[in-house]
Amino acid sequence: MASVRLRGLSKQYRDGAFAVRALDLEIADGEFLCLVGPSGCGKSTTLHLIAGLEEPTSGTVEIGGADVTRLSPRERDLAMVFQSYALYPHLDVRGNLAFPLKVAGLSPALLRQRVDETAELLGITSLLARKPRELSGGQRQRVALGRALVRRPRAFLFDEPLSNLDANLRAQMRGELKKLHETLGGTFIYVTHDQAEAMTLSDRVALMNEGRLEQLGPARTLYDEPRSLFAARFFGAPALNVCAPAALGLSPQDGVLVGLRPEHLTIDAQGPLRGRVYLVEPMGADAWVTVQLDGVRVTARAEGTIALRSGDEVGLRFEPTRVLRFDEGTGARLTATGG
Amino acid sequence: MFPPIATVGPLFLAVRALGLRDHLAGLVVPYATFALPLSLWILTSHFKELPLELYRAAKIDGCTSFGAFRRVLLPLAAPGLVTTGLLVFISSWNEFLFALTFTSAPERRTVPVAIALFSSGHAEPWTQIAAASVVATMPLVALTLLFQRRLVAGLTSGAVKG
Repeated sequence: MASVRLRGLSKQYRDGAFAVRALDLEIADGEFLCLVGPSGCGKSTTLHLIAGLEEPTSGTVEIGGADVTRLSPRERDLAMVFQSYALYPHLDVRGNLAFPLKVAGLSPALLRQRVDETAELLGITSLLARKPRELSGGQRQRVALGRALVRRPRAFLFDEPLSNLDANLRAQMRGELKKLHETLGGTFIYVTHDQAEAMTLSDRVALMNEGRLEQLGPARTLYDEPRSLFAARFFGAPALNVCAPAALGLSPQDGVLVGLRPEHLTIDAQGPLRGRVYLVEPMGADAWVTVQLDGVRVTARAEGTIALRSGDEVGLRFEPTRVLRFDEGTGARLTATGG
Repeated sequence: MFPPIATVGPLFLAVRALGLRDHLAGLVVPYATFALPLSLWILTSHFKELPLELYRAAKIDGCTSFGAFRRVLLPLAAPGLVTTGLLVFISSWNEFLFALTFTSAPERRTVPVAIALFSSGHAEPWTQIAAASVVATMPLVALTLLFQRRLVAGLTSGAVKG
């Protein structure tokens, strides 16, 4: 296992557009780092640059302290799990797991032992003789994971590995991945657009926006202390309420937007804000209630048992300390003292 | 592009100048040349259909570019290779005009030319011609049956989702 370091990494396409722009990022040995962002933010390209599948326009990639920018993928000794699984369809599961070892020229006995160990670890021993087309989506995902693990590479790269699974299986595999990381202790670099995966899996999250690093830190920090409106909006479901200060009954301020997370806005009959219920979305334990205020709709949290219907008049309450303030022009977060 | 009859004249001159008359090489070279564009076209589309991620996965798994081609892409393109091979074989096996023009010695005649020359001035030996045609078609049928399993599309199913 090894650390990975990106210095001033840029990828510019022929039409002049930047996929990745001057990215500086250090991933510690054994860290689980999530690269997140909306589609087209450059996260997958970043992963390809680390893997050596694409060449950077400028900047360097270091693995374990050595500059590998000009090396081919095979010389970098990384493993990657693809969104589409990319299993070799002409080989059975054993052949797929053995493929990287065979290419590396391992002895047949050692190869067999490693494949069996990995299959055991992932619970796919009974599938070893099957072809990929005879497997379900979840089983293919496991095989793809196994093919990465069997290598014992210096770092693991994941390119939205769970996106093709249905919701239940995705949650289960997410848990298994996290456990696997704890057990193996490898360097994991994980690309996803799913904020829930980023929140639950990672030690740190690198949020990307238009090829740049928007914010880097533990998921909790990005959630509680977003540095910009973009970061605040990306994390949290339902999304952050954003409006002018006056709409929440705060003192009006030009060029400032305020954000308030739905769970910090509660339904309260005596609440100072009055509005009409626009929509109720029961989620089990909680219910999300969208309320039409004066000129703006906001989402608030209520008990799952609440009996509200569209059109009812309700009151809302929030703690003023929970309000996040942003510069309307730049989207930068304004801290209490500065704002 | 041109009909064969338009090219056979100049080709005959070229074959004669190269001293390839009555040599099988005199047929092999033109057949290969004329089959090449179609083969490339079919094979290109076959290789393009292979998922790019398989190539990338092979490179990550330690293959060189050629290694990824040999170990992953080539086996997956097998149906395309077989199809193309069969098409080229059939067109060469049945080709008549070049074979008639570039060979004159009886032992160098190809099957279609030999069958055409069954006819003499006096009679058309239809029964022999029919029998010879059946015999000449047998290898094609045998080959097609042999590779039928390979021709079945969908070998890549299961590689990637969808």
